[in-house]
Amino acid sequence: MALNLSAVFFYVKDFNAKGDGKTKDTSAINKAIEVCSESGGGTVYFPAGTYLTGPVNLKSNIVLYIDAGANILFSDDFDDYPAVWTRWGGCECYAYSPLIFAYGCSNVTITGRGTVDGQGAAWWKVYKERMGSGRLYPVTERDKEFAELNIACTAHGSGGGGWKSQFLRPPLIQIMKCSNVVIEGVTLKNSPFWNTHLLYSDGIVVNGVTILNPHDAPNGDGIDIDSCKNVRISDSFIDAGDDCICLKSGMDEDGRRVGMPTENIAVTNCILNHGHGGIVMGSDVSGGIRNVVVSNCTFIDTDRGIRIKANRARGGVVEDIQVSNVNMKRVFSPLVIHAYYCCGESPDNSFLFDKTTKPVTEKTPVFKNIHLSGVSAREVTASAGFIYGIPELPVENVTLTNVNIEMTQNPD
Amino acid sequence: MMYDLEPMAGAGFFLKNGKNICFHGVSITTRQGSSIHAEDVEGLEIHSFKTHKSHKDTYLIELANVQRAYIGSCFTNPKDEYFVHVEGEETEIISSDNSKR
Repeated sequence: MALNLSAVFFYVKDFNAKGDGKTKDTSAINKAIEVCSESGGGTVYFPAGTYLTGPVNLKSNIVLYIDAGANILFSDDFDDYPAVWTRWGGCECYAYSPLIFAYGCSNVTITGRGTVDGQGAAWWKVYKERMGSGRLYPVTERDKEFAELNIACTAHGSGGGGWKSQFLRPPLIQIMKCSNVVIEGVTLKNSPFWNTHLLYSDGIVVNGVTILNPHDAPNGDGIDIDSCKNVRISDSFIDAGDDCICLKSGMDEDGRRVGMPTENIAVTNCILNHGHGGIVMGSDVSGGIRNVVVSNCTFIDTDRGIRIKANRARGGVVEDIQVSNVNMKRVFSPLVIHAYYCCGESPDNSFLFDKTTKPVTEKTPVFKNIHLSGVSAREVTASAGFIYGIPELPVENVTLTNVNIEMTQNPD
Repeated sequence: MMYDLEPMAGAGFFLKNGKNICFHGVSITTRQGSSIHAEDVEGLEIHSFKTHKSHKDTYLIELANVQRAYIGSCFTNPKDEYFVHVEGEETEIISSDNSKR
């Protein structure tokens, strides 16, 4: 029996995508996805070419196949991206639509040897101008639109100034409330904000991807696993502007209200370059993080190697973390566990930073059962390690076994 | 405010407010200062620890208010005169079988 390829392959050019890098193919791409899904599923195929587009909305039972030589180039016209309900910086709110957005889907794959380019430079430029000028309040009509939508979410200190300005940049890919998702083979680069944001999802495989965000890409995390379970990341190369792989579970009261931990996470055979941390947990850990294994990885020039951070506003339990067979080179510090994390918080907040014992509440962060073995860190520049708990609930059950740490002798 | 790296450029492992912390077969070579500084810790095990380079007039391990500390089977350089420094009324330490190489 002959296979009818036209019934399972949906060529974006058959839906009038130009692939010329100039014409916006937004409608054509989304139509191909819609028709594919409505017909029971199949593969939406991008042959070689450059596809300029606005947001791409995935559906269930879709394989998005980006072939070698194909480049999905996202528009840097902010008005192409509508407001969508999501979680941004650990709190539920409206923000710019992710560039590739899968919401409530199952059986979704993004694959191929092609590239997805978020053209983040335009977003980074605005962000840096805002931060540089101190204009941390809604300036544009879009900012004001978000400020009205997010009336309850403007007071958070974190998010790199995003909450105050309501310039809530989108991730390159967001997988939200999905199950059975695979991302493999593709190159994902220049995201406006975090690169790949996995949110409220169950059963995700990220394999063999290359993530490239420049070192100065603000908040340019590689992969953020946010209140998800059963996630496997393997054989990938991540060169990030911020944290290479970051595990999160919501911020403060909003994170506790949602109450979804990140759990059952495996990271293996990855090379992590640059950024502020190799594997980071926090600081938004209010829903908890548990059962994480990291193995057979190389960290190069990541400021910190393994970093776990929170403070007395967060709450949440971070537990059962296993790190083994990791080589680190030129990191600031191979292991940092910090319960007085201060970024985005007012230095005048004496409760968060007081060194005396406070009552244990739902806001008290808990770090326990953290184990490193077979770790080698050379040319370390700042500190061999740093564990700073809070007196009312110390960091508990940490073991370092067969760990070699050598500070650089030539810091200049 | 307590930043995590700035106060200790080039220094060893800093540990404060911990419980049941174990260093087993760990080697730390610093550019300056002690290799391990532990403060306000309950239950600390340092077993088979070593360093490749010690510093003049500097203790390898510093403990302050550490309850139930065990330090055993560690290797130090023959010329090291400063191995463990202990302070704080709450510190209890058991040290055994630590040899110079």
